[in-house]
Amino acid sequence: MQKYEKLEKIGEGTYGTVFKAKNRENQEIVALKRVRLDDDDEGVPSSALREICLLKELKHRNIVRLHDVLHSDTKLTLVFEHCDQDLKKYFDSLNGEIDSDQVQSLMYQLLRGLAFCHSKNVLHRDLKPQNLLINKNGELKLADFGLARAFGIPVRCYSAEVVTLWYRPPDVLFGAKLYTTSIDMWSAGCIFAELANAGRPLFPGSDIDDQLKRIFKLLGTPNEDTWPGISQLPDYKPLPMYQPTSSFVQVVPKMSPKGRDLLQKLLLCNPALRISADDAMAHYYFTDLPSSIKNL
Amino acid sequence: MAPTKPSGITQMVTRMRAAANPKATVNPSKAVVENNSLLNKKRKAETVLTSENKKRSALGDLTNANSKLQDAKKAAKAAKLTSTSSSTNLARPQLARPSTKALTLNLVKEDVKVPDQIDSEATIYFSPENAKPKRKLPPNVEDFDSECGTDPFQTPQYAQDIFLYFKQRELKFIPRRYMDQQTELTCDMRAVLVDWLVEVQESFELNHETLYSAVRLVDLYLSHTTVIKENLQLVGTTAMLISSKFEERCPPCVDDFLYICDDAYTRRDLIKMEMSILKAVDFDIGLPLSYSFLRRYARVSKASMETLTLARFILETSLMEYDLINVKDSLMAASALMMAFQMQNSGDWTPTLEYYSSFTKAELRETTQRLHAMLIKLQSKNLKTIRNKYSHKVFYEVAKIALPAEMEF
Repeated sequence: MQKYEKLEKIGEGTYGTVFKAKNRENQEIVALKRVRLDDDDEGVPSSALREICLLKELKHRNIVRLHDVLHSDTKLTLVFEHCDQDLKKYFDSLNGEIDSDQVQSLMYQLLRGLAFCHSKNVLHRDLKPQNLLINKNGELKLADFGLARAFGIPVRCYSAEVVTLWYRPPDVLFGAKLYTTSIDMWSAGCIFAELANAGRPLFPGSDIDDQLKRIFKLLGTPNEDTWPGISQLPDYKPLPMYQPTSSFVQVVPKMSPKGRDLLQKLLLCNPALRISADDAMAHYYFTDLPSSIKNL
Repeated sequence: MAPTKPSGITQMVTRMRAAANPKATVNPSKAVVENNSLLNKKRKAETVLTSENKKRSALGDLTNANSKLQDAKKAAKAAKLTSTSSSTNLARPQLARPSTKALTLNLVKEDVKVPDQIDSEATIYFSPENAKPKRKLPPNVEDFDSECGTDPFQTPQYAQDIFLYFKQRELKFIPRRYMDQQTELTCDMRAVLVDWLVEVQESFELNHETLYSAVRLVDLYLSHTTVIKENLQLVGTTAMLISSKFEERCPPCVDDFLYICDDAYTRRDLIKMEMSILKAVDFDIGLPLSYSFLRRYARVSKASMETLTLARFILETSLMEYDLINVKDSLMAASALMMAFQMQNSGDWTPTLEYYSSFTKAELRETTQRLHAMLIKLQSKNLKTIRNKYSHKVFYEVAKIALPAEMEF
């Protein structure tokens, strides 16, 4: 590990500690993610294995770059590009005010990173502000692929224990194991609203029931008419029949009507109807996006 | 004679030797013993699986450890949910077979159809200049992905992109021919190993993707490193461990993999081999697989489940054939499907298939004939796991379909 000088601890990923470090050869600042390998253990954890393998494939300006993987007998070290902060910390620095151009730019970059993952058959499955990094040029990067997985066509059943509660879509909250790219689009919708409100989470539920109720209070409780098949989901249970809130204006007061339209298309309970990342990027909301960001 | 615990590796070596010398007469009584021991092994493996729930759920998937019981309940519910489609569902043989195991491991829902949906109004707000240009299809080509438009589980929006990406990516993973550089290994030993891996895939109820990807990892590793005969099974079992971790929702644990080798190796051996394989392939284990190409081609051509199953039998058998390791996955898949069409007289290489596979019928000729020759040759060999597997009713008994004397083109 002589190549890198450890500077400070940044945080904990899904399966390991993350440090800021400096490359002694070229002074470049990087992030090191440590994975301990114990002899009496299961070898390389599958989350680390997937993250390494998937990030080796996903080279994109809106996805965190994995520079290198170092291994010794006792540990594995992933060397990532370093970003100054994550979206959560960025929110904390805002004091409740955010520029609408900034919302548009960050959202577009999030969608572009996602569209790239999805077109390379990868689901992220853990989108949340803590896993979106922002560097000093205002570039957003998807990070922490510890829960990500490659999907097949057609998709098979995958784990329902994915996505942090606040960003988990209603189908997965009902225990759906059969899901596809729409799983990430719901999280993107939650993040979009959170961006527009300068960091106030949209659905900060305390448990699965509370999470579902918060969602349905805003969007209306879905039923077999609005979402055929809903009652067949593994953990489906009838919930109070809330009427949809007529307008998103109260929810995201500062968002433009075009933005609210996009938000509504992302936050559709029925996963089959949820807009895709590619279509979302083509939405009118982004028509006036500066070409400097489009071509970033 | 008191039964002694068969040593997996001795058995492997014995089987390899037998494979290396097909003329040696097989002692029928011994063969029976061996079969029994294999059965025992399987049964024991099952006990391991069911009795060590705790261990397995601790390994679980990736997130919160949850109770296995709950999982099993959910799985049972999910199974109920899809039971209507199970008659056409090839990839879930375990549901139809008597099994003491819970249904948790390999619940594959291939043919779930979502009822037709009203199209969302998403189009209203599109700005045309931002929209991705629609792909233009040549005449006579059916637009399969548009037909799937209302079934999100086919990921119609990304399917074509993904397969184009696979086709470009598969070139990266074609193993170099390595047998000349291997000092102790032979093609027959490799075939025995693959035969055994199929057995492992069946007894652990793993996905076929896991099997295909393990076989490829073995080849990539062997084209990189010289391996002694005694360690070939270690390479195979470790490759299966790696691909399970990547592919499976609940991968079997290291103990399970040690067990199926009858403890011929230690945990440390396996974990060291894991790193050795990962280094050799530079952690790049998201392999485009012939198995995935085949499903795509069968779907776009609307081939019957029986034809697809026959093609899968041909394709899986080809995993045993060293001579075919450097054929592109997409080409192998297309050729297996072509061969199945011919054997059943159930279809032809249409413009639609030509478009989606980007192979013309003429381009399939050579590989199809090689597959045919391989099947003829294998009929006389003693490696029967795949043949037995596909002789089962669940697999439409496709292995029993007579091979034509030659392939017509």
